[in-house]
Amino acid sequence: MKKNIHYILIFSFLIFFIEGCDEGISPEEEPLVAEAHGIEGTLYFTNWPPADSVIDLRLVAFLNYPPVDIISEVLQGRAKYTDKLPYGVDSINFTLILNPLPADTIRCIAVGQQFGNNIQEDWRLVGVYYTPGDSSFPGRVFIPPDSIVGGINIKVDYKKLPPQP
Amino acid sequence: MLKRSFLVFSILLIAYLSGLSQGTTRGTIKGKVIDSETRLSIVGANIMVLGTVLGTTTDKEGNFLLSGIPTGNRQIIISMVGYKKQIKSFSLTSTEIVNLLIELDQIAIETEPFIVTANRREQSLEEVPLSVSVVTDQMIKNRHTVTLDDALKYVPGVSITRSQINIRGSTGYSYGVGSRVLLLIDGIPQLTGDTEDIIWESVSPDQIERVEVVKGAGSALYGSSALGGVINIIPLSFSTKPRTRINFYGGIYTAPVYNSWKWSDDARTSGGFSFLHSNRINHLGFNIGGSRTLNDGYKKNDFLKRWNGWTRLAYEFSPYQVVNFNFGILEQYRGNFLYWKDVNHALESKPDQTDDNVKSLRWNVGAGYKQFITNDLFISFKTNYYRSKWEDNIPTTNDVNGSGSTSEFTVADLQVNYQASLSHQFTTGLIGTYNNVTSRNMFGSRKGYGGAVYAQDEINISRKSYLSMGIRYDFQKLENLPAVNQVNPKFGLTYTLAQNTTIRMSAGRGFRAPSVAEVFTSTEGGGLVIRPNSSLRPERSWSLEVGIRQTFSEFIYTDFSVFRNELWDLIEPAFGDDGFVHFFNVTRAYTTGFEAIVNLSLFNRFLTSSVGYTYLYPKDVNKNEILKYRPRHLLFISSKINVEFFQISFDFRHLSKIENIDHELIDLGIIPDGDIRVPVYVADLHLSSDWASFGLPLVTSVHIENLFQYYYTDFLANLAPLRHIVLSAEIKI
Repeated sequence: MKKNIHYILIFSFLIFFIEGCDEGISPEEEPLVAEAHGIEGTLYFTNWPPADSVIDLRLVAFLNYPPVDIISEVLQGRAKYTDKLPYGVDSINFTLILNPLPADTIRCIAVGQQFGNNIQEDWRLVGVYYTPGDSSFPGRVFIPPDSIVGGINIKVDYKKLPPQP
Repeated sequence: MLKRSFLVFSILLIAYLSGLSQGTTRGTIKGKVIDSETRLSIVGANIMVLGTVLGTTTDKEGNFLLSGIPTGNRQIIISMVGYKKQIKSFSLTSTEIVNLLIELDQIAIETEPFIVTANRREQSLEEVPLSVSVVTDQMIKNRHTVTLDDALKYVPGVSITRSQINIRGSTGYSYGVGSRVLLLIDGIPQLTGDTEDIIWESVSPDQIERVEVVKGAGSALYGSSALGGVINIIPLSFSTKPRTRINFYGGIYTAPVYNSWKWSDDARTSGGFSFLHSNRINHLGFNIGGSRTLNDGYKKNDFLKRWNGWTRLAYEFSPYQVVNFNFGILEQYRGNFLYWKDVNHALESKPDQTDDNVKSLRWNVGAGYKQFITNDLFISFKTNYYRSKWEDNIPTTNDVNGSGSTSEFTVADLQVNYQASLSHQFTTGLIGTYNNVTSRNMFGSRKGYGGAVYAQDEINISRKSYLSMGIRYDFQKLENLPAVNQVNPKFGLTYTLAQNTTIRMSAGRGFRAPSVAEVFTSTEGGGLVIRPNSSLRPERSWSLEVGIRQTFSEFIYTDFSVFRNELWDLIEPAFGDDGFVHFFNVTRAYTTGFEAIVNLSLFNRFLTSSVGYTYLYPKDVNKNEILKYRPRHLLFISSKINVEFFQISFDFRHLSKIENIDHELIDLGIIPDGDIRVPVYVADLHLSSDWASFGLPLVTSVHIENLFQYYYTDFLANLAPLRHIVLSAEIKI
């Protein structure tokens, strides 16, 4: 009987061992487009400034306009931005998944540049998305649930910056 | 000139004290040690006179004789493997010989009933009013501990976040600066002078006799940094016969199951060796050791190459006068894996961080002196110099070649123990510190100094109750900033309800003065700027605890405690109004909870097991949220099976999912997928064979860490070690 208990213990342990392996964190599966909402398009750059003045560069989507500042809006969950954009390119395609921001009207889409070391204050908008035919005010874009809105193209000309909000 | 004067003064002081001790009268004790149950003699039991270096062992009839003991009220400790240790108190005169019959009780559960750290002197655990856990050298060896923090992961109430220790929720994670737990080696602080952090690698596991973990504020005896607890490393004692131990090991990490995580076709391996020689020749005892540690790292750019060397010498001028010397050195070169690239590339860092590395050279030299002045007056003097130098190649806008820092921390500690009577034990002391930091692109060149005075009285109110009260005043000055003055009181009470039941309660205040790094860090990179804050105040705390220890039989030991720590002015990095990152006094908090520990011995000692559970509620009062990086539930289970020359041990630990982190780092996109985390369930298995019974001086072992290959993060975007299989062989000569 004592021997049997030992065998049961060892068998249970092996089952536990085999069943328990490789749990925990795993790589993320690619998010299904149908489950995400966001924007995509192309950014065009001209007249780049010196590289040391472009500490950071991102495409930002704001739920509010005018924003307080980029960092505060992102931290407060009212804006989302892309990964850092590369320096010196002529153009780049982007896709920005906006989850977990709600599928709602985006009031401003712009390219933000950090030009100094103050992460909170040293940002400016260097390119803004306008509704075709109307460059008087940032274009509003309604994002339906589970869909990616395309055609968000922005021209960034460092010699001709847009008015700051 | 100053050093020479100090040397002359020291020699004169020793000569003077030696003269004083000559006038001490001596007495003799003799006796017999027997098994309380079988009444048979116990051979080889150790007898030590408390507060002295006097000691002996019993002969083959169980008898002992010890002469030359200072007269007065004395205590001896009698210990033997497999038996419960005992303290005997008696009054000794020079005219009569004290005769003792000592009956030792067999124990099934190995506990460590003698503690040094709680009251700066060796005393029975039953007298200690705080929660104390002990990690023995055997536990350290059984777990194939390469750095000490690996062994501390299994102490109830303790969690380790990326090498930063957290006792009962005191610390969380503070980015490698300002430890809220004080590390001592033989009672002397061992924190770096610049960041005031613990460098676990600088302590070789071979040089440890045991580690005492005191939970709760300990600043009333140990000063700054002892906010959440104290860890004291008790150095390995000297072998009475020549003893050499050489250990070789090699290991391999199991590849991850997910293809996207595989970043190398090569096996990721670890390996190394260590040696230790211990001996006593006449009046000179010495331990000398060294080790080499190599690790490819399971993560990209997480490699490590390390040399350790250390020695400890002690010379007994007489049984009442001992001087010791110690030295340790660490040279290390390692990759600097900061965060993963993203969860799909969890074992690779961002492309611009794959060449980051850190080189360090750290060494310490110390000396100590112990002397009986009179029969009841005992002094000890300890000093230590700790030099820590590191350099990295991580570019900042200040210097593209990286940063570095050299810190020199010197401490001197004079302690006096006076036994006024059998019921009064008085302890007092003076401490001085000097800190000198020279840094490239980080902290600037900074100097600081400090002093402290403390006093404590321990009173045996009755045979059942034991009271301790103490107070310490600390003064610290850093550069031209306002001095920090702090008074820390403590109070403790133990009461023996029944033969096997002791209740305890304690209250103590803790504080931590800001480190050089927190006050003066000035660096920038990646768009983030860290700027100094000269207006930082010390962190402060109050710890309260009530507990009960109960031995139900020789097979079951339990300890239950309820605790609460009130914390003020916790220092954390945060964005300031100027948009720069500073360290600020941002948080008023408390942690409260309970801890239950059960030690079992089953099936006639075939299986021994220890279970520890801690519930923690860490609350940030200012923000009305859970404190960052603190798990709410901590569970530890350790079991050991002994079959003749074979031993199997199994460790399991569970930490609940961390509820709160630095969300800003994730929201701003600084750490991709940094909010991915899971509860921790980790099991380790250790198999070991001692071949001594076959005439071979060899111990072989297999260690499987993270047996079930469970994937979890031990910090933001840092995957904890994968399954690691290690084979080791130890030759004992």
